[in-house]
Amino acid sequence: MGKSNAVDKAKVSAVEVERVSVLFPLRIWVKEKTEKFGFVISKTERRFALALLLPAIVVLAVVGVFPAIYCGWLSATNINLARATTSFKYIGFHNWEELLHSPYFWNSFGITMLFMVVAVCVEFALGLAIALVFTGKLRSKFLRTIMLIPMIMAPVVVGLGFYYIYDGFFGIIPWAFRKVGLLGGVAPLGKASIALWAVIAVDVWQWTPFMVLILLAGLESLPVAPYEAAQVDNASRWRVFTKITLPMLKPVILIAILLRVIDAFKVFDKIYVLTAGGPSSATEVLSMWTYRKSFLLFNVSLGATSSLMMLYVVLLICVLLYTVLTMEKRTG
Amino acid sequence: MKKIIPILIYSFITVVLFIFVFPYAWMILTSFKTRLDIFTVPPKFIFTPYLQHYVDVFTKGRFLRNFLNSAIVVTCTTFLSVAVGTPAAYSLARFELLGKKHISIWILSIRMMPPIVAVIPFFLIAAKLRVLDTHGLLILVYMTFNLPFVIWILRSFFEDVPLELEQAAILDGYSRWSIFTKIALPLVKPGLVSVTILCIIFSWNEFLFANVLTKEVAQTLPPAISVLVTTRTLQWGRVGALATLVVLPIVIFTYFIQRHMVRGLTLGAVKG
Repeated sequence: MGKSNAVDKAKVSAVEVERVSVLFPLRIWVKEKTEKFGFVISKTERRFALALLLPAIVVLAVVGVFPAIYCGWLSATNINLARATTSFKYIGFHNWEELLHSPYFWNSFGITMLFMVVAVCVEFALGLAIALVFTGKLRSKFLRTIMLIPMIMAPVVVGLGFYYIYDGFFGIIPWAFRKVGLLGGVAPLGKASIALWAVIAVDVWQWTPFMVLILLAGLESLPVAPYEAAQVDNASRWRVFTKITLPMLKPVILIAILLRVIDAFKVFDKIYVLTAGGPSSATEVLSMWTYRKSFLLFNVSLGATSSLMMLYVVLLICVLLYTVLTMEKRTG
Repeated sequence: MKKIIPILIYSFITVVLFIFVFPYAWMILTSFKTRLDIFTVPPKFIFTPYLQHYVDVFTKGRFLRNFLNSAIVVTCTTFLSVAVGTPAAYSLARFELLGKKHISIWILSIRMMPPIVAVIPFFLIAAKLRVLDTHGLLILVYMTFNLPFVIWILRSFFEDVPLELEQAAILDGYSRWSIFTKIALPLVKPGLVSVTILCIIFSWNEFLFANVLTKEVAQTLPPAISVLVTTRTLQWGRVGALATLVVLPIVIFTYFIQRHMVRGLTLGAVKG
């Protein structure tokens, strides 16, 4: 009797030792990770942290994850609100096939890419030039607010303002062009070849101040020491700019460009108000095309597919953005 | 020769400021012109002011209702986003939880999500649940971009609060919740203010969700204005007045927090 007890006990304790010795390194690893931050996580503290975090995670799951999954499901179906009588069925990748073979999709994709690249490049170049001139001079609240206003205006309102300015009969720009003899004074939004450039100009107007403010903040936070050293070495202004200023600004530049790239990719409001896709699809960016497909032609499954495509692109750029943002935090 | 450079610089600055002011200044001017003045060519710069358009905005049409809807939705969604997001930001800033990096990327990507991705599912589900055209729907849907934004920005503010303060408080016997409410929160007040105002701005200006998900009862301002362009293109006076009124509250807010806006707009990367 005593012997079996002892054997049982030995077996039980052997199992326990197994369990502990497997968990032990895991526990040490968790402890090390949490102590790194200076705060030791006890069970109650972990519960507290999760309790604070949970409502946000729930809301984000409903509002962020659920639509993406639903879009995924939609893209595998043939739901078309305009043809409510067709029987519902799963069509797998057929929507994706239709999407990737559609010339209209690729047209929109190309236009979006063109818009994105040109707008961001122009905004960056102009923004940098203006920021360099403005360095140290933009102190007053009033001037800062003036530079902020284009960015904080609703894109719809900006679109409206420029719709009026670009108007062929009463707009001030065609009138000015007519006076000067440029471009024959035609309404920029009505001509397919210039409509996209006119729309890009609107975006440049609205978002160059963003570049200016970011680059200005970056420029004004650069350390003085390298510049003093360059002065001692009698370096030319161009060399100072390219070898000192630009490299030190690199993280700020990257963040500004990535943020603008994502926003330019998503653009919708301005296009909707200015041209609604433009004279013969000249300004039909991806958001506009998806909107048209989903809510004007009611082909929601194709629209879901297209928006999933957009989501993937944005996700990719987001991962890049996150890397740059955390890199900056670690060194900044 | 050297004396010309300051003159060049200041005239460059003036030109740049003029370019960035002109389009909306022109709209504001237009809102004060009589219909006759609006349609004269060449455009008039000097004219007698005419306030009827502003009166029209409030008396005719349903813009008063749109203003109200915008105000309701914006207040509620900002309040909710800040209320839910602030504790989450504190939690992410202070506690070393496993998977934090993945949660952070996830939150960032929700902030950057193209609204069109969320609109289609929300529209279909809301239609089935019969909650289209309600304030509550918009308030929830706007948290799509407001909540991640709040979390992201406030997290960097919380990380700036010195750890020693909280550790001293622990030694003094404060509970975790008191540390959060009595020490950490007051210290991030500027962050709270700028995040609140930026949320107000983003929600006030939002167009796509409001356009698709509301129609008459809960329609906010941006879709209401866009209709003016597509159906009644010639009411420029009223459009100008409405545009001015829509932008004015935002400009006033901005004037007071413009110091913190750069940090907010660049997701905390640049502490302008």
